[in-house]
Amino acid sequence: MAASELVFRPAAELAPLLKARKISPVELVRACLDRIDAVNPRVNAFITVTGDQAVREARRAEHEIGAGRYRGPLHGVPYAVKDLVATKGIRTTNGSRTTSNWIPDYESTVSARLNEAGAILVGKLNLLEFAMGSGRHGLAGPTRNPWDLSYSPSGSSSGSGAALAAHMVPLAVGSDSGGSIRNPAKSCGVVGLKPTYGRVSRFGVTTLSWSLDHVGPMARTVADAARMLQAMAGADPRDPASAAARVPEYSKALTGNIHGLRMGVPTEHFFEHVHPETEAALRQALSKLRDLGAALVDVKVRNAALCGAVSSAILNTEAAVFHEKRLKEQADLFSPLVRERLEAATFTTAIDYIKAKRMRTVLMEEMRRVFQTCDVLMLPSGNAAPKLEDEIGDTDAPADPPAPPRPDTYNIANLTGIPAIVLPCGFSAGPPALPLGIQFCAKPFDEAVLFRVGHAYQSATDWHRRRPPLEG
Amino acid sequence: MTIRESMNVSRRRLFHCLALAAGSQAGAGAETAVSLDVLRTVSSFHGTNLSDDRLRVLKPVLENRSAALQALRDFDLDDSVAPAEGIVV
Repeated sequence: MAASELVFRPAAELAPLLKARKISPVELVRACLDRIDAVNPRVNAFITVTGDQAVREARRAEHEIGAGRYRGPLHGVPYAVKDLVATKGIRTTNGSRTTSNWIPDYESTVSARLNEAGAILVGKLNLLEFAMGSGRHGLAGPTRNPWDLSYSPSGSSSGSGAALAAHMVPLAVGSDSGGSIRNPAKSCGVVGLKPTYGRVSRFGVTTLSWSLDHVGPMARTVADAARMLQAMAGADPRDPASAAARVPEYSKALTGNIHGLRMGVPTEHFFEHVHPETEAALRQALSKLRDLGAALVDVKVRNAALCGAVSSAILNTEAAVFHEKRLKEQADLFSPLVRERLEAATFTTAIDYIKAKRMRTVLMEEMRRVFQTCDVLMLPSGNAAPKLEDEIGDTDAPADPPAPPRPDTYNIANLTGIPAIVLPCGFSAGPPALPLGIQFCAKPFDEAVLFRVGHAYQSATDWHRRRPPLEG
Repeated sequence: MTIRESMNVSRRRLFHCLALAAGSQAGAGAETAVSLDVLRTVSSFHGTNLSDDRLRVLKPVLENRSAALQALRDFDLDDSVAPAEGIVV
């Protein structure tokens, strides 16, 4: 196989080749680095590329595998992390001028675990500033959607989604406090999992909101995301919010069998502002899942319409607290949108904030009730990506004319801590033809059922194998 | 108005300003228009002391959020509902 073709293979296909020494980790890493050189100038997914270190690690992996010390399905596989994940000795910018030269002297748990599994870090990925900034402006400039470079990859894990779609890496790490893994996964036509709250340690991951932050895997296939989570998940004494819940063997969920699975379909709220062609793609995906054996069940999620206000009251307030010192001392270094959001949050009252936390309890109980009637809840995942120029710029102030309202389909999972996965389910008519995504949620710590559904769907479809028109 | 002058407000005026800034007089679904003077007083009371330039930037943003925030405030919760700390499994 030509080295240049290796970048188009998912990790699950590369792993046996690496184990059998039919390809070398060095060859694979160099292929990724060549791909990054060729494509990143146009896509701008990477802020920092750790080429020399990656090749050194690849040589070490090659030696280990050759000596019979194979660590598992991620050994020798390249990956990249969102640039708010601390990597020891490697610049970690948070996409912000306030921390543009920060070089951590410690490693995040998530990257440490992936490294321990033998995966090879090739670089740090572009993002919206502190996971809350503008998709148009940022420290390293905007990331562009590989499916059409004048479109947004969505954020805040914009570089993660784009790097995967452009085949620069097979695996990436993102973070999600209000859709920041799932939105770019949808816009870039890749897979993104927001795990259960606490499933993956957040030690070393810059905080946006203590109550709502999640770290999760992104890949081009559900099977790859499952293998990533296997390495990432588990309790961490350095993160008090990390969960002690047992980590199951996720690969056992990749059976392709969803006979008898009850698939909840919401009857209210979540389809508001979903475009007709997006809804058509979702209904077609549901029809496919029914053909595969799932039973569709109508579900109502009460009080879902309040998710946006609840999330805003919690997320922005906690972000303002986290950045309190920075806002006092370096306000001018923030981008206008981030500064505006942080300062506006200082007007939130404690009563509003605690009321919002009480609403979280109501929503958690509601989702517990929902999952008594279904095994998986299907939700839309927004509409196709917007043009970059239509992304939020410097302010949340109402635009003239007003921006079209967007569906609110992500916050429910952050507010209740339930796991949620997005995978591609079609393309818009265009032009340009842009990816559309479908989202599935499950009860806490049941990522396995999400992998089961997602893998079954991907085994019966080929949306995830399409390639953006980047060549030439 | 200097910071010292702005601190010398009557209790009645302060509470009035806080209530206006919090949008408690707004009906559900309606934006609350709020004056720069109110925002200045609240910012001073909170200790953030944002400049008038900053407050002018924030004013339309806060007004735009008031309707959604009011919907949250209007939601009736039973006394037994405690704030979520972590998640319910």
